[in-house]
Amino acid sequence: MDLALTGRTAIVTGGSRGIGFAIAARLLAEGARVAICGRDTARLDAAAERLRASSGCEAGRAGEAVLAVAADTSVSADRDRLVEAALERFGRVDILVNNAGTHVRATVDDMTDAQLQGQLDDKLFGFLGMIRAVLPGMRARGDGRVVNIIGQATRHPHPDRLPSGIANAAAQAMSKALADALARENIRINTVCPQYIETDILAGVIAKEMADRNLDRASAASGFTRANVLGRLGTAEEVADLVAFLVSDRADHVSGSSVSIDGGYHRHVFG
Amino acid sequence: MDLSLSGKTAIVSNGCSPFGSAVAARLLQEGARVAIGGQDARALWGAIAALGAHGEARAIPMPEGDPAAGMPQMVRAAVVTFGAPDILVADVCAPLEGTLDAVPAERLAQYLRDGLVALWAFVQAGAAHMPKEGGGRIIVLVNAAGKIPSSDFLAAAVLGAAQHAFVKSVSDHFGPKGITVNAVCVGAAAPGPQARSIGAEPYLGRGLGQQESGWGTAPPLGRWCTPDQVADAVAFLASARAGFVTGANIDVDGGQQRMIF
Repeated sequence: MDLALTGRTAIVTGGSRGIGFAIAARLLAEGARVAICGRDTARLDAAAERLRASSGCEAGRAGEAVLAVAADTSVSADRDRLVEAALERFGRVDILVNNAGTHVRATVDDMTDAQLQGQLDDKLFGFLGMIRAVLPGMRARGDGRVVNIIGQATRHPHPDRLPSGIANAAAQAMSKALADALARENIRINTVCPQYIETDILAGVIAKEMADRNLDRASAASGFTRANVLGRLGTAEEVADLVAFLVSDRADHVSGSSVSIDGGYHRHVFG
Repeated sequence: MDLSLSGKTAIVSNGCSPFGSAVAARLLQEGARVAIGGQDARALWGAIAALGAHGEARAIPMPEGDPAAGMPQMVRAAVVTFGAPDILVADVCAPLEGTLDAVPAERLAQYLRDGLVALWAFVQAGAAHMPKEGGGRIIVLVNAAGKIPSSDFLAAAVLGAAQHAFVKSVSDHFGPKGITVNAVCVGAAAPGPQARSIGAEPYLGRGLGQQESGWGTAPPLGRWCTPDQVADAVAFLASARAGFVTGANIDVDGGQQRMIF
């Protein structure tokens, strides 16, 4: 399937590892030029080198097709600097993938205000701020494609996942409202909702379960694989494939859609 | 993006509909072999004539009358033709227009039989032949009315909601077998009756400014759903690329549906 992404330009936030890295690699393999950002400079630079060396990045364009910018997208000035750097390198930003942010667990008894504020800064203000930063160019061209990566703590607001559950729900509401607001300018906004993907985040959650419940790794991990009907963990590459489809020309009538990629974990009929 | 559909076998329940025909064409272009069912022999052979240019397609005529009763026979014939199906695409019936007063209960019963019982029979018969090692894909086309209730399309809304429940419940059933089940939500196509219906109600659920500007008189993207757009979403969900997506929906509706989640 030709996604018609050759020559397109993209920003993938949180692109130095995990799902974000896989998305950047997939878009690159489809012919796009990609800017990634992250907070850890060493990890970011290493990720950029891996992308440049990847099979999807042809030798002739390796130098200019990948841009790495150290930035914290919860910080307004960093967002502006990231977008300016991408515009300077690529001339425009056709695609934005808001992925930066982590998963934070806490209950009503132990959640701190700082934990919740941090999640809102990453996933609500960070995502919204990035959309606003790339919006002028998308509006001017009458074409824009945005995917927000929002975990399933939205659909399943577990008692022990308050920070992520609250922030993700806010991000979903923001995404739908902006999809409606901007569709008439041919700017499409969709959300991809992963759960139980093999990433560093999940490895950390499994380690916490092992420590909290005094379990071996297999027992701790089974708590996740048993929670979805496919009985396995997903991969970052699978999430990347879905994102690539949604930002492509092949999905040009898809906007305001919230697509689950969770092995059947969520229990909703209409999601 | 390589969808790895080459050599896969698909059954499209209704290859005579615009959406079923477009899905068949897209799967053929990606290298799959496709059997299409249909009750209208003339339309079916016409569809096959058009699809032949894209790849290996076969027409599976269904007996006239109750499509639910004809599904098992159609599936058996498709299996004889191409072997076990890897992919089932259900496009069982077009949206029925009409209000509560306009649609007699008997008509609703027939509509639900055509749209829900036939879907049930198609998936039941087709999945029984899917490879035991997993990797099967079932995709159901559900009219957008299933998420966007409309008094003008009451029966379509009821059917769509039931189809969504079917998709999610059946995805639970087939997940452990390695078969994914998903829905593609089909938006209003022009110049169909649903397009007229959207334009006829610019006020509900909208603020005053939006009411005055006619904000709600067309899909937010300002264009109508086409069969090719639906076919692209189906092809993605049918592919190896979508192996961790099950019990999910992709809305190909131009942003029309209003749910957050």
